[in-house]
Amino acid sequence: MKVTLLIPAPLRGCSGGSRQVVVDGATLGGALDDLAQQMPVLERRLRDERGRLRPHVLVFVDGVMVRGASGLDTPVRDGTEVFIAPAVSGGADRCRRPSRHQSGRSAAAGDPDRIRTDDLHLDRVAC
Amino acid sequence: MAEAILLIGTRKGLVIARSDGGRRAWSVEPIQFVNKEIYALAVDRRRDPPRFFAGVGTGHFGSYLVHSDDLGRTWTEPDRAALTFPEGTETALVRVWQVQPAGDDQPDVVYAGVEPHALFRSDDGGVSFSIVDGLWNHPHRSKWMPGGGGACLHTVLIHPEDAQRVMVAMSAAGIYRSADGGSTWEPANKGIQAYWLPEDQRFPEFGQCVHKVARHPSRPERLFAQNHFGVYRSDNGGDSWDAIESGLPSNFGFPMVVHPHKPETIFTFPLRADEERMPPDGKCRVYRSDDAGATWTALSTGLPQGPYLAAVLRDAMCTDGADQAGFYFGSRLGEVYGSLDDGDSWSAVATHLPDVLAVRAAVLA
Repeated sequence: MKVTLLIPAPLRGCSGGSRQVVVDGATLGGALDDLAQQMPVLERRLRDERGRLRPHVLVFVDGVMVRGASGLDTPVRDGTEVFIAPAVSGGADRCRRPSRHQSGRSAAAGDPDRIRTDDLHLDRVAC
Repeated sequence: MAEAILLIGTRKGLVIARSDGGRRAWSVEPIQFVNKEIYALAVDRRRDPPRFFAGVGTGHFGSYLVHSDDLGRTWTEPDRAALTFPEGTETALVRVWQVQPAGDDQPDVVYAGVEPHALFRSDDGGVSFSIVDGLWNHPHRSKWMPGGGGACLHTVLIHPEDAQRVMVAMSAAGIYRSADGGSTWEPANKGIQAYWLPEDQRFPEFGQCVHKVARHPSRPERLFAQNHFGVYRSDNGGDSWDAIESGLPSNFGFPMVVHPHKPETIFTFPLRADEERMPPDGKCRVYRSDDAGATWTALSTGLPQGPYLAAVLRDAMCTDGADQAGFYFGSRLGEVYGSLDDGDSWSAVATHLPDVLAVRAAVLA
């Protein structure tokens, strides 16, 4: 599946300046595995050495925010867009994992780790 | 013509100041690594040109180590992360706290101390590192506590005459040393108080909150330590420690720097603690001892004379090691001062920076 990663400004130094990077994968995790082959520095800005999404990086798959270990299993399809943003919680001196209050107000039905874009104050997303 | 370079790590990026060998006037360059914290800096003088290291931290995207082989004009981050916890540790790097090149007899060995408490070693000049298993697997590790700055391994000292002897200092785990290149480690905190513990438990085997340890290479068995409450000296390689804080306005502080040519001369910057973490009496003063801690002299000529409420952190004081040694410190007010007369007088190198976390300097022929 061809998936388009939308790269936020603070990470474009790791993507050669590109706003978008196209990768292959059947899941979000698989897409990031492919990114690790293409642009390893960019990939590890998103996941730590355990393969986990960094807690202060927001990732939306087709507009739905994914979090936690299960988030990497999220299926993707041809044409899926993955929106990436630094969380507002991440700039503090001693970072803590963003609370639900900080990262979104309600969960998508049936999955507490999935939050809809509409639930967020995206105008607050900055770095 | 000689060139002097001062690397200034701040909470918002890296600033480089350059001068000629006279070090009277400095040119401060535009900030690099904007909005990223720089806690660790190092200059590896064993290479020509020297290799610079910077530990870069972001609030969102992790921490990483970069190096420069063109005196800080461009930086390289390897495709494979230089510092990464291995599989099986179930641990991720939080922050790079220290980079320490080994001695001339190990020209490609570089050590790195990180958070959470761990030591890494590179055998390729600092491009790739491996965790030092002996310390990571130490039976005490599960009992080590973080200090206020985190669970940091912030100091690495390699014995100048025996590279197998390595000492590390960690907040708030204490000082540990190895005599076999890192395979096995023992705590070395005898005589150092942990003031915050119940009175009958204040001399534990480990758990002290050491802030910095330094030594002079010509006298490697003598060590100086600035602790979270307590300034100490060991004359036996860390077998035992004695307080040398009499004459200081406070026994709390972060840095400890040894004069590169005078083994008895040391520098620190006391703070009133624990509640304030500010200079005693609101005065910006470096303290120097010329007799290995027996007596201390306050140094303030050229420093701000009004109320001064900023701290100087553990790696924010250094020497350039030149024949006429330069000394530098930066404060959390974003000011950096330098001295060419062993601290008797100071002048500003850079001001109005973000708060300073680390400084390192070198004078190149």
